[in-house]
Amino acid sequence: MNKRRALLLLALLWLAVALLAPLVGSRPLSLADVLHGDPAAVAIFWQLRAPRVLLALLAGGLLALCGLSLQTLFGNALAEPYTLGVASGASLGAALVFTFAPRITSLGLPLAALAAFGGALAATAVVVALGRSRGAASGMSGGAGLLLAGVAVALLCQAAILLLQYLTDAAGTLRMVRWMMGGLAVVGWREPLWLLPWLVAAVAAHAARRWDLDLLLAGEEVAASRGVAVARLRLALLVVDSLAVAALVSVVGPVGFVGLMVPHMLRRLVGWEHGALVPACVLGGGAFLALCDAGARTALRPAELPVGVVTALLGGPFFLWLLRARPRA
Amino acid sequence: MNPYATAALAGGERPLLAARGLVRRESGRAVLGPLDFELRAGESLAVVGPNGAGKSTLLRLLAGVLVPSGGTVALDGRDLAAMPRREAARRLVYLPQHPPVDVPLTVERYLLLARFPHRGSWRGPADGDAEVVDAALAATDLAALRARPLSALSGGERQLVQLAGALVQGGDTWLVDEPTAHLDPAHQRRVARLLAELHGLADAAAAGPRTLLLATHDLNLAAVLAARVVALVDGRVAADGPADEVLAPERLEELYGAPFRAAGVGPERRLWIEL
Repeated sequence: MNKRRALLLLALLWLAVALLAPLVGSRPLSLADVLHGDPAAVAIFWQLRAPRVLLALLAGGLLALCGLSLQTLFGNALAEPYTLGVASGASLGAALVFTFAPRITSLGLPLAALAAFGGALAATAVVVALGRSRGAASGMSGGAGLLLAGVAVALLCQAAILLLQYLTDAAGTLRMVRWMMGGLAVVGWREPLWLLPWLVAAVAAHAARRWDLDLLLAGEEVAASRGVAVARLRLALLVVDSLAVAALVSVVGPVGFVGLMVPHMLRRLVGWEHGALVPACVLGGGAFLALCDAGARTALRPAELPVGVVTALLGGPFFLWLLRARPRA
Repeated sequence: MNPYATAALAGGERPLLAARGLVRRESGRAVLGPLDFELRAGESLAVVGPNGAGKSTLLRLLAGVLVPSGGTVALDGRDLAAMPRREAARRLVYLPQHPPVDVPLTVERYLLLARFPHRGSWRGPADGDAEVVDAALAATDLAALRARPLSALSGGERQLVQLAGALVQGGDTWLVDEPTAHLDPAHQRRVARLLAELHGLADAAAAGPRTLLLATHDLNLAAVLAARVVALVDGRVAADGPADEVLAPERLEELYGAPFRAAGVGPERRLWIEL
């Protein structure tokens, strides 16, 4: 398919989801009710559905973008936004709060969200520090060192979380498990507005460096010989990615699948060049997560499924079909 | 410092690339150096030596894609490590021993990216870039492959694409690592002739290598392309001189520990190993 036409289609899909997804849910709304000012419909639409759909659109776009970024930076198809221990660090932060201070709110965000943000940053800082010292010892290729450090920190955090779950009561454990499933249920616009600047910054950074990223597809050595400052580029974009994912995990929890698989899906649509892939991920990732969330809200109405379950249940078979349908170019 | 380099320095010519006390350690073991090394503008030089002697490491360090553990590399008297990568890439073209295999881009898009060092930091392809790519495709006789993905090329085609990429990048100094390894004889000949032709043609304005540094096990390729030969053994310079002198059978036997025979002089020189 023509690259430009594919991007246009993704933009149209994004818009359609943005307009229609707020109308579905445990209580279906009609656009007419909202426009005529039915108070219940207006409240549900503007206070619950619209912010939630916007949050899904932003979070999905950010997850796909960061997944794309890490896959290119490490030259590894299995890299994803949580590879460097961001999600595990965030989960540990949240788990600490659920165990020791379950009811405190501060600075407008729940304490668990702040602790998750702090945990994510701390985990990333440890990983980058470890990975950098390894990278310095072995010259330019700090990639493998960073990946290993990320996996090690993630395992460490997960062990600490299991320990906390074992020590706390059943209610605390339940809260932790629910949090780690991820979720987009919000009231009002606080969370989407918190996420927006991070997404804008991440898009700007990756759009500006799209040619450097294209060159990295040919490997570190070729990229460096063509004039890319590989080590500096990798560190700068990792910091951007990690800050953005930390901000994201702190409000929606670790939603899986989107960051790993959506970039692979979109490469089949628009090719490998980052000039097209960056906008495609923002649009496609957002639309995908918002659609999954709409499914999660309606499938077992009035109950809601965790959105991470739906992303994997819908996305997994779709991706397997894609793998079979069109062999790699 | 070796006598060959000293003689040239006494002539007052400043080296294009100069390594001083260059060392590269990996896992605590020195894989190269410490060594001093100079490459002068307009020269064609081959680096030979047994496996593991440090030829590829030397080329990577000189290209600036690998960081030295000690010592410095200077390009026209300026420290390469402190130079912006783009600026270095406008002068130095590095062709790795193993061209990237699984690049998911077409030949044309891949070559267009080689204009990267000539663009502004935030800029994409400029006017004229497409013409540079066309010229390089024509010079390497690859125009028929332009829409093919790199991952679908044969080893020989891939090496020719690397040469085209070097032309597109357009530096005056080429550092070429084993350009004919793993190629069939016809592709070996094509690559060798192309390198010889480009080096012979290149003047200040042309895209080809005015200065050529070649690392190779192919001693006949070294004889054809290089006027000067440096032999590395265990990361040190074991011999440095005119090609006919270093590529003498008795020197080669010392170097590789195997008996050689030679015939002809200069670019006509041919060497073979006695079985």
